Amino acid sequence: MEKDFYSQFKNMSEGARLSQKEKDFHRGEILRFMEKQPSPYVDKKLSSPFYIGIFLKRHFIVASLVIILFSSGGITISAESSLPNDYLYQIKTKITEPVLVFLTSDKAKIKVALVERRFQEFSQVTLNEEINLEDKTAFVSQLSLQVGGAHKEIKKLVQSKNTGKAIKATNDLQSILSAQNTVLEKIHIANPEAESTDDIENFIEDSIERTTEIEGDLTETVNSKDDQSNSDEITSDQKEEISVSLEDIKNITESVPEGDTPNFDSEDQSYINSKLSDINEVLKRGDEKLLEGEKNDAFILYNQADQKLGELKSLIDSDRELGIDVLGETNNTDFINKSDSTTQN
Amino acid sequence: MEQGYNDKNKFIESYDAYGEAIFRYCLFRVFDRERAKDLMQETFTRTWEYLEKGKEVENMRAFLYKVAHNLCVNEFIRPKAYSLDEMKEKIDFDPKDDKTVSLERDAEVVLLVEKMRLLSKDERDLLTMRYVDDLAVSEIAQLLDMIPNTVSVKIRRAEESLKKLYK
Repeated sequence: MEKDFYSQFKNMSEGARLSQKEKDFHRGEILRFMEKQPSPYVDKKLSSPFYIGIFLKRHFIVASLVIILFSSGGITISAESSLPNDYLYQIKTKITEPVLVFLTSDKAKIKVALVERRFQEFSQVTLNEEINLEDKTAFVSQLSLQVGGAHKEIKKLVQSKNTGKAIKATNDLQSILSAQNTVLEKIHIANPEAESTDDIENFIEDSIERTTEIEGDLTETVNSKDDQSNSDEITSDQKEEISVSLEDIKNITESVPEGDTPNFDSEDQSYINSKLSDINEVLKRGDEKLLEGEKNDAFILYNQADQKLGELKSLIDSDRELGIDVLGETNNTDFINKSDSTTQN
Repeated sequence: MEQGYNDKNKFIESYDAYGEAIFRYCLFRVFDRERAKDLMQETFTRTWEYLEKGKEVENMRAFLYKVAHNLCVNEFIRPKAYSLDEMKEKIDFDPKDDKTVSLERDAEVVLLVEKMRLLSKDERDLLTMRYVDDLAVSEIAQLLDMIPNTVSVKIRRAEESLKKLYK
């Protein structure tokens, strides 16, 4: 930054001040507002004569809640289906889910799954206009922790040379982030009155960027491996994963019990078919590169196909769960374009 | 919640500490002094309401910025090009406290504000946070849930965009 800009910004900052009179006025207004409200802090204090300081210790409260939850399945089940605007939501995100993560061995997988769950909940309440600014702020904070947690677990997998699982988790995360960006756009088309999600969309874009950095490191790791048989095993796993995902989508879109209405209308079906055709094209290019011995390019192409399949699957799920038209073209093609550009030529 | 936040006095201390910074944050997003003052006040009343529900705030400063950010995002900002005089009137720099402020410097600042408005929202936010709000890269990263390296890269790109607007 040139020196001139620094001084101009400094002047800009100094010029944008509140006079003492303005400060005092707003201070008074805020104090008046607070006077009308009960103090959140005072309310928290216990007036019971049996009050003992230790009972307010955070670890004691958490431990007690865990015991209560394990001994009362009803609350746990209710919390499981709670949404960001519910009072049980904190129990779900701060107690039951951390316990679930603790008990699961594949932590990257479970954390990525929780990111998807957060987005599904958020889409639901946003679509139904059931979220306020405070809940949204708390949600962003929670989501940020979860995406950060997923990144951390993926990095741990890379460090412990568990590359296959790291690739799977990274691809799943990219698919979810990309699909949910599209879902948020579609929500605002379905309900223009829905709360703004610009900040969440910015967060998603940043998360995609950070995940792409991890993906880059992973690609380097795979291609720098001395053990070629391990690299071949990873490629083989990728192909198997893709084949399972293709089968899943085929089952969802084609299996309609007799007498039932089809899962998707003709426009949705056409969109799905077009996406599947693109994915098959990427797979074909991957196979060609593999035959030519270009394992690096083949690896990137298979990753792309895996991510695009995951994205399509996530969009299909959201379409069914939200009951709005999620399938269809949007302007949100940055992620796909970016991926495509990495393997051109 | 930060240790020691146990009464209204503690909360109003956060207004004394961060009120003006939050006002500046809002001002360079809505470009209207009166609206920025309202948004600053609303940031604090909403935060108090949030606390009133028994919810916890780990980092008050970061939380206030996030609330202010969300309030500003929800504002309808007309993409109107103001003349320098109109811009000066809108932002209403208050040079009355400083008799040495030159008209030339004032015009430069208003021009900078006008150029900033031509940047993308993200670029404007980053430059404002870094150079007007004087936040460290690590603090911005925490506020925006990004890694510091990404923030540095984005700030550098925003600076380049701003320089281009002056050419």
